[in-house]
Amino acid sequence: MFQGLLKKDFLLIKNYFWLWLIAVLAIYGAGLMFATYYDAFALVFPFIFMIYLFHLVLLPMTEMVLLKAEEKGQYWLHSTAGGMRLLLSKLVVALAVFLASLVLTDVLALITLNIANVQEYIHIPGRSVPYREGFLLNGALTAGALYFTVWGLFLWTVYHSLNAYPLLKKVRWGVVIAIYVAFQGLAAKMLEIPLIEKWFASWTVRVSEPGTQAWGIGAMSFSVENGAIQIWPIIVSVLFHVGLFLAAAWLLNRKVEV
Amino acid sequence: MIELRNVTKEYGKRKALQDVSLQFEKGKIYGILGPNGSGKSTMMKMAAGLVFPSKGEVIVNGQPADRSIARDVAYLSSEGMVYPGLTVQQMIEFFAAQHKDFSLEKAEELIQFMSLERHKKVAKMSKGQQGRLKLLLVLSRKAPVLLLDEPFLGLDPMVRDTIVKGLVSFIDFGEQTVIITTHEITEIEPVLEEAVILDEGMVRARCHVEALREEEGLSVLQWLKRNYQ
Repeated sequence: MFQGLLKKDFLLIKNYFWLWLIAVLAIYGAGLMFATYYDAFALVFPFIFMIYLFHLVLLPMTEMVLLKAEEKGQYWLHSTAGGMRLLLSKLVVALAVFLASLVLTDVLALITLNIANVQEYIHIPGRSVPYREGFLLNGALTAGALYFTVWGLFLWTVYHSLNAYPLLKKVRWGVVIAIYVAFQGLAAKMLEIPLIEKWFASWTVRVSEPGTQAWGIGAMSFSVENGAIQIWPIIVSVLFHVGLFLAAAWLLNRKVEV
Repeated sequence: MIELRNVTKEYGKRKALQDVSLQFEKGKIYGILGPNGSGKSTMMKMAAGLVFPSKGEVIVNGQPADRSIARDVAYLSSEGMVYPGLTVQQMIEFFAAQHKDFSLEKAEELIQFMSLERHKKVAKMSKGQQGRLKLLLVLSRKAPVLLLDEPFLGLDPMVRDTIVKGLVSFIDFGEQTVIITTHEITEIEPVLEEAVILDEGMVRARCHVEALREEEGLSVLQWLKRNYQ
């Protein structure tokens, strides 16, 4: 059953997927032409960074395209699969599209870095390709994209759950935005509590030289302080987003009506 | 068997169904008639587990109708159901993967019967072809209950005729309970055993089609008109 859902969801997104990969190559090609025109190879890098940044919206956008395909009639709910498998299939397919695109971008970045490194177009400390930073960038982009996607799934189910209440139906967007803003406010307040600050700082893993850096977005962010990553915020964040996904599945099963 | 026990469905102040109690017996073919907005589709969606009652309960084969009822119920929806980007074959494969009771053999027979092209995309099919594909997907299942919500909507008489013939040829009479909502009474009348009129969310009348014909000399259409006089 789940395989059937995956296949269907991939077929729904297949054309967009190929189009996107072509777009990535086109943007990279445009970067190369730009760099050649100005005779400055390093000008390719802003284009690569732009492609990387697009990945933050690629995953949630793919997810939304897949959900949009079900909105007419919501027939997909007439299934024994249950909300969790229905949503998980979409998440897995969207993640596969995202990762394929990220790998393609990594390959383009590596080719470009190697050319730049050999030809000394840019300065790279130690003249070695920064794999660790690359992994961290990939990880941060994936975490950030997942953050938006899981929130998108949850808010999408909230939005459609409100269909059954004519009074709220007219202000559905307002309710959805209010829920998100309220949560962000609550999370920010909680992070100011000294006890929580102390708890988060109680488990760290050293990954680099001293200094403070931060990756991620909103509640999904993690920081490296004095070269160390705080582990508890990552665990709490992962658990919270799993909970949010389960809440979305519950809403889809019990509250979204056709 | 399907049973609606004092079912009410409210959307704010509007009541789509009001205290409806109905029973549908195993192996019979029922027609649900009534004007637009009478609650026909809401009732079908409830039996398919897609809409939940505000009051009362809907029981299908002894179980309250929720999403899992799709195991016993094959539902033809008036909108959605087929994906424009998928081909006939891909839709069949998808349904076969989702429903254990889906018969690929029956689907093969129905492809021929409905004159559908296996590799044609849904987006490139006419409304009539899409209607036939939907019926194929539902009739290929050996589910105890078939719910057909407006299967004739927007279809020309030739297609409607094909669909009725499809019903007659591929339904397991006496085993499968079939409920059809429609405005096209003339085409469907020969296969109906019982008819129910829904109006403003309430049951206005109910009849046995054969008894109506024999005892009162009326067709279902005449009976429907009489109820609105």
